[in-house]
Amino acid sequence: MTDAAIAAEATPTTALDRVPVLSVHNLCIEVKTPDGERVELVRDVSFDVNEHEVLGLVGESGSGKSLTMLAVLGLLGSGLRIVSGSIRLRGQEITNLSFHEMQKIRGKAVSIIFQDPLTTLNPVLRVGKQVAEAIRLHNPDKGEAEIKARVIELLSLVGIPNPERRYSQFPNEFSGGMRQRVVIAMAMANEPDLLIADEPTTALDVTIQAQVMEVLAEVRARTGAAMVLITHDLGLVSEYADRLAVMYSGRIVEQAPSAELFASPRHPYTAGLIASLPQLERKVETLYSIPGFVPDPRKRPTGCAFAPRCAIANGRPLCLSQSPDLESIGANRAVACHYSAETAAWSTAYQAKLENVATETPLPVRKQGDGTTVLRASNLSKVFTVRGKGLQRSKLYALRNVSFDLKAGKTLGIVGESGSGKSTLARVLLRLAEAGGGEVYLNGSPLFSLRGRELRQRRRDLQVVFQDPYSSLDPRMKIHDVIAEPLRIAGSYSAERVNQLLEHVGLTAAAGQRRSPEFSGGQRQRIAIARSLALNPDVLILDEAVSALDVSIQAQIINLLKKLQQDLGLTYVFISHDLSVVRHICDEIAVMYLGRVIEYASTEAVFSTPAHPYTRGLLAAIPRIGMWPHGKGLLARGDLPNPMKPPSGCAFRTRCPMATALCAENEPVLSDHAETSHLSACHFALA
Amino acid sequence: MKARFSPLQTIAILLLAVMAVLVIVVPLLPIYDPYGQNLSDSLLPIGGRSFNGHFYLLGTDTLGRDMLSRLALAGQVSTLIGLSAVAVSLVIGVTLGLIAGYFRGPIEAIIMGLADLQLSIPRVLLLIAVTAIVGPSVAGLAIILGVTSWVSYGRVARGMTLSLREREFILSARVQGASAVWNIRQHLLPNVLPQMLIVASYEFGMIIVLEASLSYLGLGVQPPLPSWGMMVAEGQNYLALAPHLAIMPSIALFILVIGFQFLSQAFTKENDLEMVA
Ligand code: SF4
Ligand code: SF4
Repeated sequence: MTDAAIAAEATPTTALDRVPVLSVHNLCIEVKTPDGERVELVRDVSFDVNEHEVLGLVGESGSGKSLTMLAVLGLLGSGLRIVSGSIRLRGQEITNLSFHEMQKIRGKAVSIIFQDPLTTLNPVLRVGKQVAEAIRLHNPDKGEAEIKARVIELLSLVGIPNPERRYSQFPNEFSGGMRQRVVIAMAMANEPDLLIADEPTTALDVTIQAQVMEVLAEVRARTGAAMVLITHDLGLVSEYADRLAVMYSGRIVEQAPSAELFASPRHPYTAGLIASLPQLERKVETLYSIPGFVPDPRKRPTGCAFAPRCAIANGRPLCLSQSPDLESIGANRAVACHYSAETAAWSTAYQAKLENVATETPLPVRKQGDGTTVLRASNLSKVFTVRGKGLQRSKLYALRNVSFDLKAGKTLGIVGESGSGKSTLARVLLRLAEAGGGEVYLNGSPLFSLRGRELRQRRRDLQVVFQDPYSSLDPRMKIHDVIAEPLRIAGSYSAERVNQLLEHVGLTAAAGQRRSPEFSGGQRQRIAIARSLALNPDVLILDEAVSALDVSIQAQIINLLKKLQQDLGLTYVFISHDLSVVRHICDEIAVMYLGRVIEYASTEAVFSTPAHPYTRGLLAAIPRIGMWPHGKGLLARGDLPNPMKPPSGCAFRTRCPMATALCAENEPVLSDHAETSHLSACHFALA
Repeated sequence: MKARFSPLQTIAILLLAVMAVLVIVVPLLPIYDPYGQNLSDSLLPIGGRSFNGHFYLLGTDTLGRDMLSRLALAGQVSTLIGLSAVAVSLVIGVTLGLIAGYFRGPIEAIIMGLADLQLSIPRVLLLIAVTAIVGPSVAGLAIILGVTSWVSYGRVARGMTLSLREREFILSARVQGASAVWNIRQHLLPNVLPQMLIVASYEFGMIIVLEASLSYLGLGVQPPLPSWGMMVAEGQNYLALAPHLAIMPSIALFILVIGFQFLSQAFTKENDLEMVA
């Protein structure tokens, strides 16, 4: 971020010069379900966005945060309707504008950046043309040359190298981060007063996310646009938003300046969310997890919608009977809770409990930490041959000499961004893909030479939980049958065992009679875990198993995994892009970059003294609560190189802030630096 | 679930109901007599009455046989051939498609090569050649029609399998030691079948038309057993004298085929939504 941007962010705004750019009042949005029922999805939402300000709109899926902003854009889908309330853009009421009038406002006064740049850009149109289109829409009399010049100016503004050449390329020639920059350029084309960013970086890797957020801050600083940042990521809003509004089940439950909100949350939901977030700075034995799940809007509890999950409600009649209004508490803060005064005490008590646990039982003894190696990978490699144009064939080295050694009852974290090879590694370990070389030893015996029946027997000891809880369960099957499947395959089915497994993961036997579409993401993930445990495996591979879940649900699943590990003596391979989750659950970490392990050490060592510049860049890129600005000099530069043509020498050198001529010549080997068993692959690794 | 039908479904149901009445109800009526000849009553028009007071709702043919009964019997023959042919091709197509999609590699190449080869030879030509050699019979016709029309099932089944086999519930089952047979039976087949029924309802119409064309050419059903195609062929000679002879079976054919086309389109629309979600 430039100095100007920081200055703009820091400019104190007094109450007098506040002109709201956007002001939403008592907005209610309804949906008509196919059976004619009307359901309120957004209830009585009010907030202002002031000049130059970034308002973070935070909530889990189903909270109504995206719907609210779609209403501001006049883009509500069919079946959705604004029932009451007003939306004013610079004082102009827009709820009663026709579609045509709204079109004039969209893109000019307000514009939006969606989550997925892939679907926002038209794949068959040249990038430059698409940006030009955005300009021409609102400036019909501008000349061709003038517009082109402006496009190129915009593209360079958002940090796209060689804008003249890039102008005539297609979206698929851009990386994800570059595409999102193009989308930002389009959104900024007419210098709107208000920018709405809906999960703008959720589809991107962390190192790229940091770059894109900076570009966003820079262009905003230049034009002075206000922004609404919609996200589920508390770390991200804490770094980039001035003020926050937290939504739950269609309502705003708390509003506060971001520093204050994180320092002293007043709503029990906010407090719970913050407590359930795994943090980079410290590791706790169990995360707080808000019990239960977000209610179905058709079956919202009477009274406070949060009551069934609330830590301080205690079934008090007021909470159960009366829905609390959003009331102002002190300057700039508002909260919707009858007993908000008690939240602070709960947070303190919870914090104290954590610290007690931490000092009393520093490391709980695990059931099966007897130090035998359960899973060993040695020099795994995998090469894909990728067909190019015509007869061209290029080789993609998805795995290069990956080795690790995993002891019983431990958890190994495999960390990497897209293209790192971590998913390929999971598939090779599971023998869903054949390795090009190397060997995997499970309980001491090699896996790769096994075939047919023998393989099917042995692989039962090595099970997997996948990321997507929606595609991992056969939609036609009853849950009971889903979990029974491995038992039936093995010929050891018994209904009791299935019910026992359901109980292990916190579900009742009755749940077994329903089908997967009736369950939420978190519950499905529990079911997937139960299925993977059916045959008593030794090792569980968790392939981004918590990445698709909401924060409060993620904490539940992480706690469940930790508990199961303790109770059953399981060994985990935890594959993830999320370093804070990895820190929380893993004993050892292997960081991968372009198919290679570039750092391999204990979790403590990786986080306290990261040795490889890439690891340090990753750590610096993670947005975290109350920490800003982060170590900017450590951030990885630019984009992932083309994996088909990796750079000579060290594969990371094109992005490394420390690269020298030596790095281009020799590839560093993965070796010890100072400490024993802290391996890293860098010529200049820090010990 | 509410039983409300889209306009397309309603039309399809109405059309098929008409055919059901013709094929199932008419043969139960006392007037049903597809073979009884009465040369003195020949070529009576629609609603014609013979001099001895016999009433023919749809008239009579050259040999004085009741057209309504003939149409109904021919409809039975056509649907029977259509259904058996569809069953044969569905089984072959789904099996080959699932195998190709699940195992990939050389097996897939062979199966898909076979499909391409099959498509490169015009089906009618192939049918003419085969019937000319084997000789016409109802069972033979059904089998030949079935064997030569598996390709669309095979292609769709393979395509779906390709995407399903990467779905995580199948990967999970593989990791748990499920064999190929298990995965195909438990997961692939049940997920692929609904789509196959759509293909089948489309293909059924095609088969009926094919059968009619073969019979028209004299290579299909043999007299005295009637078939719509054959009736059209016979009626052609009397177009000026008794146009209903050729027109009635044509209309019957049309209604049945269109009915099934609409049905398959209605299915497709419903299932598209599901696929998107
Ligand atoms: S009103 Fe009651 S139930 Fe709702 S958040 Fe406050 S204490 Fe909890
Ligand atoms: S070897 Fe060089 S380029 Fe590679 S990480 Fe180390 S310093 Fe950076």
